[in-house]
Order: sequence, then C-alpha cells, then structure tokens
Amino acid sequence: MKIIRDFLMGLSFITIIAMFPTFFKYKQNPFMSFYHYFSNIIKLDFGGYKLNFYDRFAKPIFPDLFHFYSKSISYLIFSIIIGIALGILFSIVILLLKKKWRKPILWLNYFLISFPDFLLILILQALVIWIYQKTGTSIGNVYSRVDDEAILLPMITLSLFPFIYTLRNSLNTFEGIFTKDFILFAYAKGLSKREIIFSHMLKNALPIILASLPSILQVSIANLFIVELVYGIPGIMKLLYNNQTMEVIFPSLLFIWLTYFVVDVGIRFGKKQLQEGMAK
Amino acid sequence: MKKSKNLFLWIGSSILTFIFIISILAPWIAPYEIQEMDPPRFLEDGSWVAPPYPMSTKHWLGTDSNGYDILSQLMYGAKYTLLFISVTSVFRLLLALPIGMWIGWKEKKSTRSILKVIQLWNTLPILIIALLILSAVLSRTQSVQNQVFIQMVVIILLGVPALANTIHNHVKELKKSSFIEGAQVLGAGDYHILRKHIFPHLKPQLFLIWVMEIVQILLLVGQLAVLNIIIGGAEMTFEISTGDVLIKPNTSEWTGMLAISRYKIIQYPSIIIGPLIAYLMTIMSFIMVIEGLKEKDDLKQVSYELD
Repeated sequence: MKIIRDFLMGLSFITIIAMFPTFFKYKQNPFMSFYHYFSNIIKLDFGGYKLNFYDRFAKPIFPDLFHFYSKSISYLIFSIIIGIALGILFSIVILLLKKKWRKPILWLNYFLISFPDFLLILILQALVIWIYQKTGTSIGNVYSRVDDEAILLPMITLSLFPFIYTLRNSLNTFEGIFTKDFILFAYAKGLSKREIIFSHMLKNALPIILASLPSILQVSIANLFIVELVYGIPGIMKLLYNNQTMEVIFPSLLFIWLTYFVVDVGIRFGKKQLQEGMAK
Repeated sequence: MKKSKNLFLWIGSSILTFIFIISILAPWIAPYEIQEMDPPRFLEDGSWVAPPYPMSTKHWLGTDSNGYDILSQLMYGAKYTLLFISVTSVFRLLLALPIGMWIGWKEKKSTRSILKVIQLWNTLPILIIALLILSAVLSRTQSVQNQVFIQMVVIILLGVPALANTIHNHVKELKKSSFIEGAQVLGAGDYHILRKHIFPHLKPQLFLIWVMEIVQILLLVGQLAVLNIIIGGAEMTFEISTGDVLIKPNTSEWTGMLAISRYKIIQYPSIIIGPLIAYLMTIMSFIMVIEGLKEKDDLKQVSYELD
C-alpha cells in the first residue's frame, strides 16, 4: 500500500514538472495541455520527438523510448558495478597496506568525492586528444558518432563517484568492524589478516555497502545527464534535453525516477528482511 | 600531532579569505578595467594577431576570445560567484531551518505527511528539474538582474526539502537527550524548547551544514553552466578573426567563464586554465573546511550527506 501511495505521489510531482515548460515556454494553459496529453494517451497517441534540432520530422516516441532508456541504463549499471567492485577491491588493498600509506590515500579520497564531473570530462577529453596529437594512438572516442560510440571515457567518468564513495564507505565500515569482538577473537585464534578480511569482514560489510546504492544512484543519474550531453550519447537524457515538451518530459522523467524508486524500495525491503532475519 | 589535525581547516579558510579579499579589492588591484579589450593588431612585419592571446607578461593568464584579460575578469567575477553561492545557501538554510525543526520536533499526523512529501521529493533528480524549470522560465530578453533573481529563487527552492530533511534528522537525534525530557517535565512549551534547548545544540552543526550546502550549490551551478544555463545569462557576439559565434557571459562569473571557454580547450588551452584553477581552488578549499570541521570533536557525528 505504501509503495502505491509513494508511486502516485511521485507521479503527480512529475506531472507538475512536465507541465512547467508548456506553461512558460509555449505560453499555453498548463491544465489544457495536461488534458490534451492525457486524452491523447487514452487514444494511444503518445506524441513525437526529434533527437537533433535539425531533424525534419518528429518520430513517434513510444517504442523508441525503450531503446534510449536501455542505452542509458546499460551505461549506468555497468559503471556502477565497475565502480563498486573497484572500490571494494581497493579498500581491501588499502587495509592490507601499512598505516603510514593509508593517510595520503584518505586525503585523496576527500578531494575526489566532490570532484566536479564536468571538469573530469573536460580534462579526460583534452588529455585523449593531446595524447592522440603527440603519439597518434587513440585511447577512446571523445564524442559519440552514429556508428562508433564513446564507451571508455563515459565509463571512467560515471564510475568515479561510485568508486570513491564505496572506497570511503567500505573503509569506514571495515575500520568499525575491526574493533568488534569476533574479529579480535579470530585474531586471537591465530588467523592471518588476509583470512580475516576475506572470510569475516567482507561478509559483514557487504550489506552496508549495498545500502549505499540509492545515494550512489542519485548522484550517478545527475552525472549521467552531463555525461550523455557532453559525450553526445543518444540516451534518454539527451532525448529529454533536446525535447522539452510534455510528451517527452513526462515519460522519460518517469522512467528515470522509476529506476531510482525501484532500487530504493528494493534495498529498503531487503534491509527489513535482513533485520527480521537477524532478530530471529 | 594535534596541531596538524586541523591543517585542512587552516588552509581552506585562508584560501577562502584570500579569494574574498580579492573580490572586494578587485577594482583597485586588477591589472585591467572590466570592459577593457585588447583588439586585434598588426605586427611590424605586416601580419596580424587576434585574441585569444596566450599567457605573457602583459596578460598573466592570457585573454579570452573577445580580448578581455582573464585575470582581471576572474578578479571582478569573484564577487558574483561568492555572492551567489552565499545568498542561495543562506536563504536555503533560513527556509529549511524552521520547517526541519518543526517536523523533527512535533510528531503529529500533519508533520509526518509533510515529511513523507519531502522525502519523496528528494528522490527526484534535482539537476534535471532545475534545468527543465530554468530553461523554461529564462529567456534572453530578460535583464541580467531578473535572470539572476530567477536562478536564485529556483536553486533556493529546489534545495530546501533536502536540507529540511537533514535538519529534521539532527533534531530527532537531539530529541532523545535527557535534558529535553527534563525541560518537558518542567512544563516548557514547544517553542521554548526549540529556541532555548534545541537550537543552541544545533548551532555548531548548522555551520557545517551551511558549508556543505555551498559545495552542493557550487557543483549544481557548474553543472548548469555546462548545460548552457549561465548565471546572469549570456549574449552572442562574433569572433573578430574568423567570424565564429562566441558566447559572452553577461557577468564574469566563474562557472560561466569555465563553461564558455571549454569549447576552445584544444586550440587555446590558456583560456580555460584561469577559470579552472579558480573554480577548483574554491571548491577544494570549501571541502578542506568541511573535513577540518569534521575533525572537531563536537561535530564528529555529522555524516557527509550528498544528494
């Protein structure tokens, strides 16, 4: 029941936001455009879109939206998975290091967590072009073309935040678990540090890392917006940016929001199950 | 060891003070006037050069494509950036503080439903909504003051729910303490407890929350500038030598300069270095202040919340 209520509330927020541009940009009555849009939906007419401003004809939005969405979501999912995996890996490596080396890495962490994504894109693009000019080898595409998409640079940009966030989060949780009794007991029994990290700590830290997925996703969605526009990836965000009409804003914003909503609800549900399981 | 702990706070706050002093003294210490252009000129052998000029002793950070000195533009622009971020963050705090304190303190049906709405609003991507609203509301015919005002209002209002939620969490934490219970037993009213018991304990954390809010606004403004929503708007001009379309921000605000100069990063890297360093330095020194503040004992429990 709660999920249905939240879904309806989010739906109404998105409807209000989608009515905004029609009201201000095209000076139409927002309620009339709302009425037209939803009466057209009942007639199965979802409206059209132009991906580029120089396209001559609008295409019908509906089957195509899934294509755009799947493209965006594949970038998002792969980058988040890579980021989280690398974050856990690096945090284990850092834990195995001596304490002296840990501090500079933590400092680097502070600065990278709020590093502006658009600056990272800019620096990466300039770096790749500079290397190409100097040596003649192309590391990756700087901008997407129809037949040749940019993959490496968008992935690096998108996975930086999940990587840094997970690194920070898992280091914190690992250090919290270090002082727990069962770890001390394992030490006392003579297990090595490596064995303890892999067998005991990882198992206990994973739920905490998974619980941070909604906040990672929230930032990553905002980053995806910048990434798609600057690298020219034809995904749902580019569609949204180039077509600011109710016909496009409403479904695409709904899809973007639902991605977050489903993950958030799923994680909350999983947490509840876990807590109930622990209580038993 | 104890002294080196707050090195971050010292470095960060001294860089910020330096930027603040420069923004005030800009009309006196800037090497060029704000409207002073360096036009294309003929050399002695008959050839001619046009802006952007590279870094030289005449222009320390070079000039932009219009021929304006970048160092002077940055000095003049510092006050716009600092003013914008401080005004928006203060108003966000002023609006969110009463809401957050009230919903954190009172647990009625009405406050709980407000909390639900706020928490659901926070699941929407703020950047996309800000972009949609701003690009619908703004137009090039509006005056600079109007554009800045609209951008401020939108950025303030979109950030209030998240901030109210953060403050609500802090108040809820404080509510568990025994001194609150004691005041309630003595018969203190809601308003009295909020003003005399909760607010003084919230005060040191509010400063940290304020700085975090500033960092978020800086990031948001930068992202919006890349998406062509520049603070104070921009006007189109033409490049003198090639006839290309150039965008000139109305105010020499840093994120706007940064976003505009990114188009020429390959041909003329000197254009972007100045704004890039200025923007990064500001954001990093704010982060240093945040990390330094967190080292302080009374603020250790505040977690780093991003949204």
